[in-house]
Amino acid sequence: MIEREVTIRNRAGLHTRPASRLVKTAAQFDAEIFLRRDKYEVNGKSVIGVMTLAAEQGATLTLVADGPDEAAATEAIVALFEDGFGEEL
Amino acid sequence: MDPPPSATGMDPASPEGRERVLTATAAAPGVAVGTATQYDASGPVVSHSSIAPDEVEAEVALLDAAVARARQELETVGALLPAAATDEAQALLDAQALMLRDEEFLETVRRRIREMHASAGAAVRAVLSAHRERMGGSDDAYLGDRADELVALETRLLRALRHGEAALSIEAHAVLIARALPATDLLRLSRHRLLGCVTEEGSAASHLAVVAEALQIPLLVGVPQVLQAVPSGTPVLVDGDAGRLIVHPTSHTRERYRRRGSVLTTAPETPPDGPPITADGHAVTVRANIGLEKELELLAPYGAQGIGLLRTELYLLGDTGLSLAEDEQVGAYRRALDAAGEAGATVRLLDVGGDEQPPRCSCGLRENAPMLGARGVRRLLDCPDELLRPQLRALFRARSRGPLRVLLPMVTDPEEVRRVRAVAAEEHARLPAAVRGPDSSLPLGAMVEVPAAALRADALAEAADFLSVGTNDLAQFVLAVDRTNECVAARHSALHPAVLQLVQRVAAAGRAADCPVEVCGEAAADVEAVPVLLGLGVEALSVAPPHLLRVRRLLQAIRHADTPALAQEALAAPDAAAVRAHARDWLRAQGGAAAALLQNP
Repeated sequence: MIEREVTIRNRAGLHTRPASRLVKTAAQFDAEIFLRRDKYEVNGKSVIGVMTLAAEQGATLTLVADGPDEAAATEAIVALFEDGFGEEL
Repeated sequence: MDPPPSATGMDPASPEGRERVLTATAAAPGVAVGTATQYDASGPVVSHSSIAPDEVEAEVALLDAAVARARQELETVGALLPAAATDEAQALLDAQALMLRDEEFLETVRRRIREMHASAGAAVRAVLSAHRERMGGSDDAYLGDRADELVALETRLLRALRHGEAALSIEAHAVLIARALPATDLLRLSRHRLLGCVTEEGSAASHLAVVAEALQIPLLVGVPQVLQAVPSGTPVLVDGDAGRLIVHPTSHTRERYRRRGSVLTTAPETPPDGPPITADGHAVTVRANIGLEKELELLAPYGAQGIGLLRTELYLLGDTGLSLAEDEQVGAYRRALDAAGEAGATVRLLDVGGDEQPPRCSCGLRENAPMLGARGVRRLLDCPDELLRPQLRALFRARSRGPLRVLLPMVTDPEEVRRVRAVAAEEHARLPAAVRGPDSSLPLGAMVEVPAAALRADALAEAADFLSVGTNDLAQFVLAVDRTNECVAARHSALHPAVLQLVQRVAAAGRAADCPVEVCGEAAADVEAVPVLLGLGVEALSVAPPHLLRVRRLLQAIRHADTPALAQEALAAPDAAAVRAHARDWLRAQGGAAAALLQNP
């Protein structure tokens, strides 16, 4: 299991489009993916869950990946956050 | 721009005395006049909340079937997305599709049905409202949007649970009045030729505004108490430029907007008299583009000379996809021919293609550029048994009702017309003599959208019985501009001199081969483009029904004999903007009636 801190960099936060990208990326891996904010944890493969995180710019989340390809999954998802989901920073 | 009318209550200058002007936030530009239709996007009421224990598995099956229907509905909306729609609209549909595949969410709903004996509808509501509550109360506009998406999902699922019986069909040419409207609902409703949209909630920065602008539907948001102020059936004028909703607009108000060249969208009380004719007595044929059955009833009041383009991929589209059963097609074409009357109907064969539209058949791999892919006549000839042959058979069976012409989409080479003609002859020979009619020939026209077809128009004019220039796609291909790409969309113009050169070439080839040439793209309804097209030798236009009256008025206001000089100027102009400038000067020189039709005088 890998845990990693990630920060929302794009201005608009984790709104519909970034949430979709995140879930589509997570779905490519066998590892289970979770996102945690404070004590609230959602399944990273559930778009509704990710949207309800209500994560705005600057918010810090904990990314948890658990499974055979957890390293690759973590790398791919962290890259999305660092890139601000390809949106305006 | 006119001085703003009184913004408070009654307008004392109004002879009818009922005109009221409500101020609003302009969220998508344009002006529309129509009849208010209230729309309840919130979906049906959940009729029962709990079920008997032995009904649990049946209820879960009901939920799964509804999810499948909702997915299908979304795919249909996606296929209908106009070329001008933005990435944003596509992203919204993607997000909705992802939500319908969210197994964690669906499993929570199923668990609620199984463990708490909740009805499927009640379970969906309970689970989603718990999610919304978590997000609720935030002032962040983007969070609000996310909540909107969950509401849209709930509406979609509840509607699917009721087999889509909810108020999803509206009168054509309506102005929609709603408390709130999910953007995906607007996409779906837009195929009913929605004229305008007014909502109580929402902001100019919402998904709804992006989609409305892409669809060219004027949108006003933030009109307090609009449902109480504007009952269904009320005549309204939506000014999406200045942010005004005019209830019971007086004839004076309508006239003022009409003079500004705003789209006139209400049917006249008496249909226009006689054929459209220019000021110097030159007759021009003006037909109607039809995409929906509902629009057939507009042909007579708007004075259309028959149907110039029946888009069968829209016309045959039902709530569960294309209805391609041959008998159903026969009925649909008969109704179109009956409505078109003696002027007749031009039916374009299915323009389905790429990966985006059903039905799929064996020849399709995933396409990277569907616009350039196996669509139109290419697709028809690739899989004749599924699409082409049944459609031709249905047309032969329907044609006793009136004059019928058949138009082939996306033609590149004359050989494609010949191949379709050969298939048509085979199908005619197979039909029983009693139903097929004696004549095996069907007037067969080619859409000119592909530059190769325009460049070789002489050869195409020999093979086809008529040519119809689709200026939207032709301009897109000639200028190498994807109209869905915001960075370059502004470069798209049918008035670019390079496009006009091709139109001239097609018109000349048609004249030489005695093959009529018409234009059915948006340019045919563009006040500044029409005189140029006439000057290039185009003799017939086909436009969406709401534009018919304006095109007629334009023709009455201009002299046909003056159009060739304008066309020559246009061909020599450096770019599309220069062509527009010439056309505007030319219209002003034609006199006050022509100048009054300019969009921004």
